[in-house]
Amino acid sequence: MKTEIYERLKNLHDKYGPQEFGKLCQKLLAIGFRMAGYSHIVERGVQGVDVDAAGENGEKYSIEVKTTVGQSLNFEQKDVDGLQKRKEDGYETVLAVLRLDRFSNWIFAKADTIKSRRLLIDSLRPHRLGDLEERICPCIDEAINEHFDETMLGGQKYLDHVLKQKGITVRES
Amino acid sequence: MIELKTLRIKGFRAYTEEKEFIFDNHVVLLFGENHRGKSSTLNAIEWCLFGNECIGKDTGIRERIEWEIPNRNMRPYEALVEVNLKDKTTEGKITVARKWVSARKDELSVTLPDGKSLRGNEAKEKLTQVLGLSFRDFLTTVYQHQEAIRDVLVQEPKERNEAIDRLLGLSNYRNIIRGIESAKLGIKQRKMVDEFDNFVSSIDTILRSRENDLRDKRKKAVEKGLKETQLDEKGALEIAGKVKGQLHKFSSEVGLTLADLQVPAQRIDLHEFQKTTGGEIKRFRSEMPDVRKQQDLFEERTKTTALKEQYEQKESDWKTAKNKFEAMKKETSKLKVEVEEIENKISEKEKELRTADAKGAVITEAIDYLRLEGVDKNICPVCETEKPGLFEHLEKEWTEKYEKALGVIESQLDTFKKRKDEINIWFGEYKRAKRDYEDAYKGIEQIKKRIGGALGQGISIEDDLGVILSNELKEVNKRLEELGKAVKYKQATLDQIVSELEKINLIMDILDLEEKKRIVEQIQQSSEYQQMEDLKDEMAILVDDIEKIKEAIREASYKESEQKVTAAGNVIDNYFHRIANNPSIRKIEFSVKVDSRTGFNSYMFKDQGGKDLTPILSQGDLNAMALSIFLGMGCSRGTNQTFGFVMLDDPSQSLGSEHKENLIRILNEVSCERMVILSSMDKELQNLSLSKMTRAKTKYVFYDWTTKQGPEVKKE
Repeated sequence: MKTEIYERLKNLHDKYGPQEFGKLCQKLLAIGFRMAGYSHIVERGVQGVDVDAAGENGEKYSIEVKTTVGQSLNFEQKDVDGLQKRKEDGYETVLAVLRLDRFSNWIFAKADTIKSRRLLIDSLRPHRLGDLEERICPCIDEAINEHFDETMLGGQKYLDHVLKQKGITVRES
Repeated sequence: MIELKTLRIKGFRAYTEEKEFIFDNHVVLLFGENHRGKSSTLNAIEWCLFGNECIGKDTGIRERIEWEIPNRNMRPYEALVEVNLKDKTTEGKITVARKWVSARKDELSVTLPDGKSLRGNEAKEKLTQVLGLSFRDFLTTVYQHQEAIRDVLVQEPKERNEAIDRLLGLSNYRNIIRGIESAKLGIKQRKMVDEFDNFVSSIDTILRSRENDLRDKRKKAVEKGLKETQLDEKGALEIAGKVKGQLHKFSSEVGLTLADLQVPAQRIDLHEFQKTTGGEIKRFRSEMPDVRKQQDLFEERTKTTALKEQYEQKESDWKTAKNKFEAMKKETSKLKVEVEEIENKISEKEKELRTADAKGAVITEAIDYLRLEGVDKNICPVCETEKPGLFEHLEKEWTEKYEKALGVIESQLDTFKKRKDEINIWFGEYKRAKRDYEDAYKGIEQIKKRIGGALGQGISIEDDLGVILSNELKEVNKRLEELGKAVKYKQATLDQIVSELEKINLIMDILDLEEKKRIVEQIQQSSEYQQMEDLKDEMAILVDDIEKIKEAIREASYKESEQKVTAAGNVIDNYFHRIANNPSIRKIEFSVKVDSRTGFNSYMFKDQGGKDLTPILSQGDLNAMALSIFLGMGCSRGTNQTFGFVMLDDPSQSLGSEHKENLIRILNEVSCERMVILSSMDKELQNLSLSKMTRAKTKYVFYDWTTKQGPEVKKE
């Protein structure tokens, strides 16, 4: 990722800690999808798959968002189950992973064949959705640049406000 | 169905000279001890039909790795095998001949019933069509190798499973998977990722180092009074403008001319500006008027101090010389009188000495005369009168009177002379003291003149030069102190300007570091970096795909194995039951599953109660099992078999007598449908085959083997 983006994300991580940082990234990702032109977006703060995003041309993604500073992450059975339900509803299931590292980028991986386990981020490479990454990642960077200062001050509350302003459904429970 | 009619061998493995075999009965027996060429005979048929397919690791037969075709004792190397086959359906005769050319090459020819001879690929295609059986199927259903039984007898489950795979004709699956695994793609992928990660890590280290340097420089900049907003090119250029103004003002104040300084318009010119400015500051420091005056005064002080020291030295020397001279002068008149007296005394004593000396000389000469030999010592040498005791008298007089008196006079004379010498020396010194005193006085006069010249004033003899010089020095020091303050103030002004220049330096360092950091950061955005990322993705996909292919091969291997085991299971059970005749095993359930650890097929033998038989199967049972699988695979195809013969090589390795008899009974049955070619060194099996097999038999006995002639074979 670009250094500027990395430094901003690092500042957010340092200020809010890993858990809160994960939530912030999830919301910034939802904003990124909106900026990329997806019309119907649902962001779930607590239960269920983190983000649903549907486009005008019929594309429907259900996205589980994971952030980490290491090289691996926990992909749990409840994540698999949640994504499976969304798949049954016609969504393409996606595992979106961000490693907070200067030399890492978002990885969007097709989630339907990934089993629950401790996952090495590199093991997601064969499942990458390159086109989707190309469309969404620049928009997430843009969202970070646009909302960084206020997010540093207002955290999740500020981003929830932005999500609502942008017509994104926010489900907090 | 293809029948085997004749076999001609020359130079192949154990064979040297040409030999021919005729397969004219339903049972053909090859009997003989070990190493007589029996296996080579069966191998020759196999090689003739399948060529290089039956050589190497892929066969699944260990001894086939680096298998040699031509006999080592043949010169030149040559190997030829010819097989005559008969198509039972058409009654057409087909001759297949294979000639060894090199380790990788042979020449195949196929002569068809119409006499047409084919070679090369045409021959190969025709042969495949005629045989209608792959090499793998040939191994499974036609030719029972010694090794197939040996490996089943091995107790290691891994090797036994592999051997059964081979008996079932599934070894190719294992070979492909092993081939894939030996490529170690996963390891190569990890190595590639590690190398990439190391590269990224080194970039990260560089970036962190740059960031630390930047942080330090920024901290220093703030400590130097710079604001964050000034830490850019614009800030540096503004400071340069300020520096020029300060230098201009300074030069006016001190009355020096400032070089033509151009305030830079861009960062690239700042270095030149700093260089020129630095040079000007250095020049100002040394050429300021006050500094020059200061230098003059330093010189003056040095000179005056030197003069003062010289004057003091001269004055001290003059006083010392004067004191010494005056003190000596007082002694002179007294010493002059003493000299006169001494001279008189010397004169008197010399006179006395001369008198005493003359008389003494006469006495000593008389004594010397009297001492001469033959001289009468009592006669006077002068008057020649006899004087008794003259010699003794003269000696006594000399000793007591003259010798002593002369000594006293000489001693007194010495004393007077010494004293006179001393006084003369003293007068020498007095003269020198007088000269020194006069020289010192002249020295004083000279230094006074020099000081007068240096001070620019006339100096009279009454002037106290010490005080005059001390006052002069005080004045110089006072002026130096005043100048020092002025110079210090001006140097401080220049120091301030230098400090501004250092700020420019700091900003430039920061800008350089930022630039360097940016260059490293751009590596990540470069197309090469992206290519590396893509390569990582592609490699990961490749490894994933290969893994899926491996899984698919394993699945296929398992499915085929399951199919074969199911199809031949009952026949295998039947054969096993008949050969082994183990009363505790009424039925054998032969099944296969996938080994979760290795992913390969794992075979199980269970008894009628579903219990694992492996721990209780004897070597004989396992031998029977291997034969059952081979015969099951061969016979389960029934009349659909394309080959009208089966070949068994040493099948009774661990069989007991009863097992052997049972096997012969089964082979007798098989011989009703297919020719049985049985090779054995086992006398018991040989006898059983001769006595129990009901079909007409052809027996070849392998008597001996020599390097020159190869096997000695006789048809009986």
